[in-house]
Amino acid sequence: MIPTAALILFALALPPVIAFHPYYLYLFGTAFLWASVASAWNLLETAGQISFGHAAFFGAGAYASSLVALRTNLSPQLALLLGALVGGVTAVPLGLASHVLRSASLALATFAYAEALRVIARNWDGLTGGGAGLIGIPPVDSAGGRAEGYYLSLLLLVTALAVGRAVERSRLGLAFAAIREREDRAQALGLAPTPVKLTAFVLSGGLTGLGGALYAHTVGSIQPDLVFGPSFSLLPLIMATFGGIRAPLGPTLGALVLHLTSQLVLHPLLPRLHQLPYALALIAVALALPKGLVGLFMTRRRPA
Amino acid sequence: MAILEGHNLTMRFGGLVALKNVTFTITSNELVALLGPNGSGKTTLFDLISGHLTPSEGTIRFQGETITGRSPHRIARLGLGRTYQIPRPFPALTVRENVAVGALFRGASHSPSRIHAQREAERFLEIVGLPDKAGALASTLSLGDLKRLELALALATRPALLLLDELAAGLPPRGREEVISLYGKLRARGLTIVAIEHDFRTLTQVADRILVLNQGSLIADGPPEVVLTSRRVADAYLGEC
Amino acid sequence: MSLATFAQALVAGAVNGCFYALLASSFGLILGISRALNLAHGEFVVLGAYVGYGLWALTGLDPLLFLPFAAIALLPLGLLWARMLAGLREPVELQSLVLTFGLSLLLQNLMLGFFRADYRLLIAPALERSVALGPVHVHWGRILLAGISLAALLSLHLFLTRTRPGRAILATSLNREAAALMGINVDRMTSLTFLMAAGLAGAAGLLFATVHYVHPAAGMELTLLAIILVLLGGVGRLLGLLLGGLALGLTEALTVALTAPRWRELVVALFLLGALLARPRGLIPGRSQ
Repeated sequence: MIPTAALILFALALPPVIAFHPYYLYLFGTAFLWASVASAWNLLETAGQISFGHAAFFGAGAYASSLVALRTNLSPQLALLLGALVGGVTAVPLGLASHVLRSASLALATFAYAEALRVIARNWDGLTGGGAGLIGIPPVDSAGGRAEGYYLSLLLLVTALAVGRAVERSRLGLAFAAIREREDRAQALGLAPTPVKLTAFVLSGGLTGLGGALYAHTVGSIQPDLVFGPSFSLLPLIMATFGGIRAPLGPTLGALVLHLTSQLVLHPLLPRLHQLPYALALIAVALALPKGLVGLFMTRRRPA
Repeated sequence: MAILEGHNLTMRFGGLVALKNVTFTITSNELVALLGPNGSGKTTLFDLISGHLTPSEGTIRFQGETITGRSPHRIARLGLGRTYQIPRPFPALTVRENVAVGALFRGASHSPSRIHAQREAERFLEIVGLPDKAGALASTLSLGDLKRLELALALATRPALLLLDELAAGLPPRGREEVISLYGKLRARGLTIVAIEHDFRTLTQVADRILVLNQGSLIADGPPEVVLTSRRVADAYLGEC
Repeated sequence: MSLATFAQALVAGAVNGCFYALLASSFGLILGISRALNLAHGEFVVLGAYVGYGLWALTGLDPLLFLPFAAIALLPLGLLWARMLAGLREPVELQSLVLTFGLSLLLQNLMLGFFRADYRLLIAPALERSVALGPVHVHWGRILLAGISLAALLSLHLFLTRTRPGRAILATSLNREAAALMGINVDRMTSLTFLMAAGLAGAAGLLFATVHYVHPAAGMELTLLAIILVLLGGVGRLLGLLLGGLALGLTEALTVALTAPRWRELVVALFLLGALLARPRGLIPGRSQ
């Protein structure tokens, strides 16, 4: 397992070195970024919580990091970490809400929460620059160029996957699974659900916030309607479910397939419909593919 | 020594009264059978004790503490275990992982690692007779094995009191004999047991005392010889046939 | 805030409230009969708005004449939705949210592709005429909006309670198995309900076009409004929806009068959060009737 992973990592680390065209570095960099956010979304789902509002954490991380980078002397790396922190903190109210809200009600609450943040970011001109958003966000390392964005996204993805794996093998992971499978039975066995769900929210929110921060520094500008908007909430959901929520690499697979299809196939041919693959993927999952792509190809593997 | 007491427990669901003024005391190390026709409120009473429901009126005390209205996980940590009439394991987890959940979270004083908990789980699987199914997914088990898993789950939290809901129901005659010997094994470990069984012949051989519910009210409370010859009890069940 | 402004806000809020109740009623019909939460509800309405706007732009006639057309245009979509939502796994409430979340974005993108993002405004002089009610001035169009909404709600109520198919729909919503045992064709009732809901949404869309900009992204907020009212008022209770609508409409109008129009959307989002926390199980069947 480890040697294979090392080999894959090495292969992925090569493109900037062998001078891939900057567009492809950007393309794959953003693909890895979305794969990270999709994996973070999946982490929350393993605890049984379906989020329709991940843009709340994404946008919070993006804005926190950008504002700090633009208005203070803090180093860009610290700004990124702040984005992660703010993403995690933003998730706390929802984690607490999970004490009373379940399933569809919780999903709607996450959606409403992201909406509320979107409207606030849009209208609190003094803090956030209003509807126009922020521009001129510096990259993390000015000398790095596209290669640096690529490596950072790859690093983020590895981090997200590592966190997911560590949780899956731990006590916490068993608690997540128990709550996901049957929350009331887990309760009857002495498990206090709310602290566990809160932890899931904060972990997922933190990783997503980091993704948002990286997005901001890579793209250079952010707008509230985008980074806090329903598309950015829907994307990780679709990527994770389409790829396969029960496989650790499922969300990554879904993200790569969908992002690359959308950017490479649809953007050039039918730009107005570039979100079509996502919508179709979601319909496919809801009606035909409960286990996603992974379910199509493999039988489930069980950890020991 | 009283381990569980219920006083004037009443449970209303809208206009329906499921339990009416139920009062009882369970003593340490007793095996008490809870009997009654279908719909008499037996499982509802269990739901009240385990904290899944809050009584409309009345109080419950467990190990000297008032637990009325407390959340289920707090009550479980005080030492109360429970099985369900229709088995409710964690379907996508293995049998071992299922029981490990119980072993893992039973209290602040005991917080084993996941590996450790899974090893503990294996010991409970031995007790109920499921060691060879440890790696199987809970969703693939037969009914008999699911019932065993239910018991292992309840035992994993090392309770002082067990509420067993129809452990023998749905099992073939040999399965029922196994259940009777299981009851014996559990008592030998010092557990207090309150058990619901629909077929009362299963329990009456081993029970110290029998409580009988009918339409939400407690109509009998005493040793088997007395209760089983009671006219009231016979009438209640006759209405069933 | 002056008395006149306050009174103006009250009237605006009340008018909006009636319309919101109409929006919520068709959302609630689908929820009641199939337990499905249609997050694409707002897009249904916006499509109806586009139909209305298009016919008005084409002919110049009084837009309200096109109400039946807007309603009929949505019927095929209603039937399609009925088919798709029938194939969902449990839990239906959550699975339907996921599916319709995607469908809503699909519809938005299709509208964006075909109609582009331009904000379109339907201006019919007859509707712009101002009527004075004491210190308050109201556009005739808004009075019609409220009036037609109330009339539609009343008709729906009478249909559900006084006609055979209507009562069959109510029975199926309350208990599908029992309804089937009573001889009701539950599949046909479900299809009929989806058709009605789609038609109502389309008609509501045309009304929407008479008082609001029409653009592809306008639908999301309408869906949120419908959900809020269903949570507060109950799925089948039209009076409850109306009261909830009035409460929401008034809160919005007063907030806008006291602060600024741009904060209106925040009121909606916060109202939804509040409604969810107040009624955590409000969208689950059995609780709403």
